[in-house]
Amino acid sequence: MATRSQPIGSRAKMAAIQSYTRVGSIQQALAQMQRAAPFGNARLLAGGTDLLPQVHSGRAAGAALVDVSDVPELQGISADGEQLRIGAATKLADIVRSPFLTGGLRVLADSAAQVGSVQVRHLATLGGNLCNASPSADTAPALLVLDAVVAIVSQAGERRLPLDRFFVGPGRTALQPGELLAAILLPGRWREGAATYLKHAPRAAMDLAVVGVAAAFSQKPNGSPEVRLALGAVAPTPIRARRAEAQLLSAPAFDEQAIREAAACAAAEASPISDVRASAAYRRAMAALLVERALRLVLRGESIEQGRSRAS
Amino acid sequence: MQAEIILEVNGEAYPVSVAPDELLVDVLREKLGLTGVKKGCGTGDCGACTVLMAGRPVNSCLVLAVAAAGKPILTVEGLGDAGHLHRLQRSFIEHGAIQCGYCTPGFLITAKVLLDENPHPTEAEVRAAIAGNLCRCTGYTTIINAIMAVGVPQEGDRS
Amino acid sequence: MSEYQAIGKSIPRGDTVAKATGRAVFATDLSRPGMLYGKILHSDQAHARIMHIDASQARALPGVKAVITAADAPRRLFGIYLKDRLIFAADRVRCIGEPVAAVAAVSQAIADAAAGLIRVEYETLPTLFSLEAATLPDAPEIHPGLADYQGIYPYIRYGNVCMDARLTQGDVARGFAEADRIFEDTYHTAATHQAALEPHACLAELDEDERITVWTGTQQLSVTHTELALALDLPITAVRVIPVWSGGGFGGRLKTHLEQICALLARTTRKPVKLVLTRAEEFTTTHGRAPYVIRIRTGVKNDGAITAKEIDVLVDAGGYSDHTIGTATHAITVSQGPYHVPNCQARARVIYTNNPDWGCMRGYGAQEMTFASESHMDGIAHGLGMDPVELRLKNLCREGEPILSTQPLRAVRVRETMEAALRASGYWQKKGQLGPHRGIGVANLFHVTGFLSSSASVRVNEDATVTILTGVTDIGTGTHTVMRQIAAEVLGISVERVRVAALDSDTAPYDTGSISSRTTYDSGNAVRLAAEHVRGQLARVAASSLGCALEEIAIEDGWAAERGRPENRLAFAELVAIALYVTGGPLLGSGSWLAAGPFAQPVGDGYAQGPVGTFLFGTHVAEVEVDVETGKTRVLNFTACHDVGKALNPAGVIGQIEGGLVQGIGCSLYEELQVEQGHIANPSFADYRIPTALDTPPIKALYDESPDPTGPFGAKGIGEPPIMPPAPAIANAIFDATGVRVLEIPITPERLFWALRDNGIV
Repeated sequence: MATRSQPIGSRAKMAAIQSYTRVGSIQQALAQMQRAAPFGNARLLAGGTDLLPQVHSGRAAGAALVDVSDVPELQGISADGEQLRIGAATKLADIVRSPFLTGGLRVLADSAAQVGSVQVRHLATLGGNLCNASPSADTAPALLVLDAVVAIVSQAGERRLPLDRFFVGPGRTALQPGELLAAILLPGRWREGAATYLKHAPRAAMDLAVVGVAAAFSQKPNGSPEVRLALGAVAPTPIRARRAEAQLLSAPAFDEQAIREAAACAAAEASPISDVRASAAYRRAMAALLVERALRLVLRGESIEQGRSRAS
Repeated sequence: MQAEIILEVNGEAYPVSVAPDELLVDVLREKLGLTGVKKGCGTGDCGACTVLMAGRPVNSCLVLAVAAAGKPILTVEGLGDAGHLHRLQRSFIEHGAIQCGYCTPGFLITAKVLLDENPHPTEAEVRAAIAGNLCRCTGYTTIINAIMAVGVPQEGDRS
Repeated sequence: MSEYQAIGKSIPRGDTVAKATGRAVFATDLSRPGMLYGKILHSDQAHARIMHIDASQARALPGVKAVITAADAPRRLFGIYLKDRLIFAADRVRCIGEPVAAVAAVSQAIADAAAGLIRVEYETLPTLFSLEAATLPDAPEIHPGLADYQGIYPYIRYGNVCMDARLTQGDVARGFAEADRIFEDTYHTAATHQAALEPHACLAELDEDERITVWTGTQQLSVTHTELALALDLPITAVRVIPVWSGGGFGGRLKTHLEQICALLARTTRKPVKLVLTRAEEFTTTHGRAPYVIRIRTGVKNDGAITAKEIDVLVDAGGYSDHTIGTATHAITVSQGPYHVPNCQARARVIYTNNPDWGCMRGYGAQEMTFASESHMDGIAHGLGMDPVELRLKNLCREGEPILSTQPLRAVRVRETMEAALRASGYWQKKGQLGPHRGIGVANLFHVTGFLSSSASVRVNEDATVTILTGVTDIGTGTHTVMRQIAAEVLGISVERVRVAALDSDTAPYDTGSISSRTTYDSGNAVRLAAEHVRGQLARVAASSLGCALEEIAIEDGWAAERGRPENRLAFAELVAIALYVTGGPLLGSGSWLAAGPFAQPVGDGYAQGPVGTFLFGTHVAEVEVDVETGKTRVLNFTACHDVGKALNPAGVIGQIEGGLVQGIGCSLYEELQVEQGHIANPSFADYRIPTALDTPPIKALYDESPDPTGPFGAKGIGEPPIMPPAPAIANAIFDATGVRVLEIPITPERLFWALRDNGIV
């Protein structure tokens, strides 16, 4: 058997990056992408925290990088009527301290604060986190429970997509060639609700989520309740646990039994894998547990300690 | 295709020729001779390569040199030298916060940013700020003490 | 007022300014004109015959200056305990990560690409990944030439077992017969990695005399030097090793690793060559701590007195023995723990497998053994319905009694470290009072140090400063500062006037180096003797100058004076001037400190480590909270008390305690090299998790001082002990919190979760 040994963890190709261009506008970015279209190797560079390790390990070889990190139209958080618009190249560190993310919207800041380290958050962008489409991306469950919509731009104009249709598979999004993610839009009304993101990982920092769960609860103007549940790291993409949401809303009351049943239902909607970080069985058990804890928090304002002492 | 760029590091302009895929950490260390910037992993998992770039603490192993062009960069060499130590450097020395010393430059930059933004942090805030810098020798206590000591409000401090 | 003027002071270390300003040079920072860049091609097969290596494409790549394999290297077997390895795999590879070839090229990118173009044709051989498989009677032999390998000792070896050693004391059969209860359990410790922040790196070049010069951050300058020369089949004077600052040792930078390959590339290309490992290579091709399986069986009376203890250790050596034989020897040497065990038998077997080439890490077998032994003590206490502290106190070892059939114990301080740690941690107030899912656990340690040899010289310079010439490298622990303090104290001058010379293998006196917690004790004693020697030379000059008897001269506080007539004196600088310019120099003292014997010696069927210089004790107390629904453990408070003899530099001692115990916490809860079919699946800081600043608890680090007369100014040692008790202290605390005992480390959340489930807790 002949094997060509691959050096461990090294740069497999020379000139891993074919070209680098810094652009100053969305139009320039789209033009660069068009130029690279025949070769199919255009990659947008924002923070680079996911892309650069991939490039250097050979997984994105020969890329034509288009650096959009300084494009003004892709920066910043602004209120657009009732809606919040977050530029895709907004850095996670800025999201963590944004004064716009109050009330239930704080869940996005809290989840962003758990990505990597301070240093990573000063490079990484919200758009980059989403486009990398890791099943365990911390910001994804938070955005999913906030009914986030993504604004995708191309030469043909802008289209919008609910976030849960943006993730197509591990590392794959609904972006077509020639399209870029321009902004993430959040309905402002979740400010009046309660939302939380719980991350389960061995260390208190620096780890990818073994399981990530977000929950949100609010009441519509007519008094009827709204619930959102999202799970990370337990499926090929971050997912909304819609059956669990429906189950909860159909329960006569938001009591312990309803919460437990919704959690079990959410765990059943998950399809976790076993990998170097955890087994599928453990992930499924943790998904159920974290959903319970997240629901207790948003439905009843009950902390994890309170939930435990009530249970024991 | 080499690019001719200018890196602004520690207040000086460095014209340098780089390939598009060269990392900032490698260019700083090998082309600019700033070996005070350390490389521990190359993938943003340890913080040893932390530099200040356009006012932000970043892993220089996650930045392309071409992307850093024109952005003011501060490394440990720009923080202070033996003749004129920065308060943080002096505090690290006095508190026994340096053992092998490989992680120290990264910690100093991270700590400087923390104190610039939050001059009197609590211990919890210090721990959270430095969580992205790994140390294998000290167990962190002396490092935290060194940073907290600089954060203690001094007579005449303008907060 | 302190009796000492330099000893016992937390003098800031001399290297810290350079390290704080980024000027300290590590191997990764080195650069030489015309330098080439190296890259090693490592085996990706766990066990395979090498049929053919085709490097033609690699050699043809523009910018490649050399591609070398075993054909270009000396065929001289080398190794620390057993000479069982070559520089490059020749006829077969025995593990993933073994060097097969290496490239030197004009840039790192070209070297990396060239390594990827080398085509190796393997014929796979049956692989053995478990100890069971490797020890089956018909298991294929991973080292067919085992019987002929040279070893430091005539180890008992057979099949894939490269060392089988036994230590016995008393009569265990009788001891078990006397017991009222017998407890037995088997413990597993995972492979872990030193995970130093600086990856392995070195730079080699041919000097003008065609000698090989290698710069490297080594823990053992003399050992690296001799092993490098041996591997290259050269006389040691044909090789020069220059130590540079090292970005973390912890047992990973003890001898040679890259240096031979780098030297061969330099010799082949006749250019300087620099080799730096990537972080992934660091985890997968250097020598992590071996996984251990430890079975312990203990017989006790109903009142808790131990009557017999039987320990059986199995060590997975991986493809080669590296340091695993030494760790196994050390493990059984300390296996009885700091306890009176009248009848004791310990056996260790080190077994080749096709797992990665394991080596050693801080603790050197004693960290693994301490987890097993101290968890076992706790299990016994629970079984007898006794408090775990009471059980230990009842069985503490005594001054003068032998440890496992070697020399008698001395300077026993375990009762004192227990008392101090228990008091400082509030153990008695907290035990049983902490609330649901919280617990407190205790563990003791027993370690030995003081072995092999150190030598040093001390030179008084013309300006009355003093230079220490020592072969011990300071790997970040503050060793050199302690040497300066010792010399300053002996000579009665300030530490600022003493420095350690930057030496290399040409000039440095032999020293076994920074291993096994020995530098303060062994290297420090050598420096003390050298300083005393030169002080004697100075005293003779002083006596002659001051016109009094030699015995009347006191050299202290910067003066040489006649006892009883303080006005009849010379300032140190004056004395030096007279010595050098009037009576004639040089002022050069030398000292040598030898252990009474080799590292290990035959004892019965086995090899015990010893005789050793002294014994180290300590106690840790861990307070934890377990989230029983997730299995996550949070350490709330941690207390450590260490018996150090004398803290020559208190800040340095505290630094070692805090740093070591945090590594121990890492190994208890997070750290594990996950091996699947001989392949390490988590070779990154993302998935090999060392504690961050948010993962460490509040720490109370204490030390107990009871000067050991055989140590320099009473000092014993501190380097490794702090990493030993955290795992059992935490495991015992988890048991206290949940009633569930986990017999393997790391106790990750998932591992504890399933254990809690299996025991019906959750």
